[in-house]
Amino acid sequence: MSRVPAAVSEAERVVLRPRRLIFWVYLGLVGYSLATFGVLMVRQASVVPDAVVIAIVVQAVIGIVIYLLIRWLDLFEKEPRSLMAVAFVWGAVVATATALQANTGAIGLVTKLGGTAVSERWAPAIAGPLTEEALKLLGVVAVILLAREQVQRSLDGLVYGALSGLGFELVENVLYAINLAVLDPNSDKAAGIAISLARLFLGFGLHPMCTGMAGLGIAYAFTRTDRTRWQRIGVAVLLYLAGYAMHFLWNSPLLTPAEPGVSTLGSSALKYGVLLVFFFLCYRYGARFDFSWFAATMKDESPEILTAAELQALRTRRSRRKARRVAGLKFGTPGRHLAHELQHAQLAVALARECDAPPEVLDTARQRVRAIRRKAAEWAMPRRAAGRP
Amino acid sequence: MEYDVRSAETLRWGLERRGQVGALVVLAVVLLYLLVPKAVNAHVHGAETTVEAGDHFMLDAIGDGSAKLDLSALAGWTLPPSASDDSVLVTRGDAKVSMRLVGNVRNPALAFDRLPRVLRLSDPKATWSRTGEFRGHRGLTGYRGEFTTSTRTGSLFLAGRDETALFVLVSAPSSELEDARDAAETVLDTAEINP
Repeated sequence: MSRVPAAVSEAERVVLRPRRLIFWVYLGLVGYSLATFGVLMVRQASVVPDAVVIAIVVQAVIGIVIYLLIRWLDLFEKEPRSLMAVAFVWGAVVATATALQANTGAIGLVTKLGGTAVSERWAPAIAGPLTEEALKLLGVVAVILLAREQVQRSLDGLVYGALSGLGFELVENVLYAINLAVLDPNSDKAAGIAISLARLFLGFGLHPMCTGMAGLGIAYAFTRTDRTRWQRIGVAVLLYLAGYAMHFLWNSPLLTPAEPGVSTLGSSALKYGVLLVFFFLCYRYGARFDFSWFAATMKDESPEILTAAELQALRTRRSRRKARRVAGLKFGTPGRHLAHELQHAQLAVALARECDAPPEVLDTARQRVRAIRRKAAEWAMPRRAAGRP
Repeated sequence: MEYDVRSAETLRWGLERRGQVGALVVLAVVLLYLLVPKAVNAHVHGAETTVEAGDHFMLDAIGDGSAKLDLSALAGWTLPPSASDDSVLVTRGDAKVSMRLVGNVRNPALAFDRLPRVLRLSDPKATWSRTGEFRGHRGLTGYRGEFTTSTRTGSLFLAGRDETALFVLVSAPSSELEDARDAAETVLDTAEINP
């Protein structure tokens, strides 16, 4: 079965905007961070190469899994990969390098003011979110300033925030591996494996989720122009504080028993559960709004392009899968593939409409939907004639 | 999508006017985080205490093990607050004695070769060597050695029992090094380690 060519291709040049100041600010900060923190990290990595190799391999796997999850969450419009890379690199390079400096100062301050007992228990909770959450979130702001037209809805901010958080988390985990391996009296490999597994099972995706929430708020403030300025600012601040609070809770000794052991794992699981619930609620809001946008954008399209039943089928990933399964039951595997293509083509029509695409582009998107329908009809006709379902 | 149909761009310094304030805010916030916490920390004086004869200090290793240190030999030195309870730093001018309690030390000789790598994190030219064994009056055993970095020289000790050991780094100007080393060795000799 030949694939119908895509009507609207992903923009390739959304990032190269040398006439925007943020482009140069971004490049300058990435360059500075690489020249300072990057060089330092390479030097430190050379002290414990075995641990670093193990950490990088594990982090690469974690990174791919979380990246796929983020893409999976983005139902109605996949963000351009180049812009996703901008957010990721910000988190991995600029946010990490700056946070390393800021955390050193902040932890030192907590230690001086509170003493060892307070610092040991509370410094990570005080310093971590204070520096890291804002720095990661700046990645979303940079993306918006660089390519404002790419951030149309709140969920886009969640995606870019999650990617900035992902970049941060992966580099932070490699740094943990270096530090632990250097202090391990026995083996670099054991230390690399231990920290990689610990970060895999404890706090998996913590930074993407915290920054995803805050990113949702920032995008809300930029995109929900139907709300008052104070409403938008209020939501952005609340969601930033939610991400901040989750990070604080995770790093803090709250809900953590004094004696380590199984109960420590239980408390970590409880904290992680709270984080997951908050993140899911934020995502649900973003996804619902995405669907409202899609329904509003497509409301005056003819049933030839989108029927009411197809509109409902596009609401969630589950309903989309169900629609494809039904098509597969009726028309076999090709029917399922065609249903999949039809769903993508219908989304492309909505995107072309939203972006005020030239009429010929919108027309091509609609033609694609019609072409898929014709193919489906051609496929179904002989089967029906043969008395097959 | 790239259907960003913009009106004629207003330029300033050859750059679009739109977004300039935002970009400068991003830059300012990053600079703020780079500079302010360090600067504030540098200007705030913590509750440093002066070590007096008879002072004791408790260390807890990550995992199992604890140690009680008698700091009498370091009387007059300064004890700044420590960020973690597995280590302590004592200073006097440019002289420093840092002590860290390490658990899970299965092979002390290997641990002695590995732990000084912490020096290489900040100085790739750091080198160290073992110069002999350490045998304390309270049954602690281990090794002693020396290290050199680009800027300083110093002494190393690793001594303990039953997989829990104290790792001690002593650095000081050459005129003070012997005194500092003797004081650190005395603290190590009188340490009570509970694996």
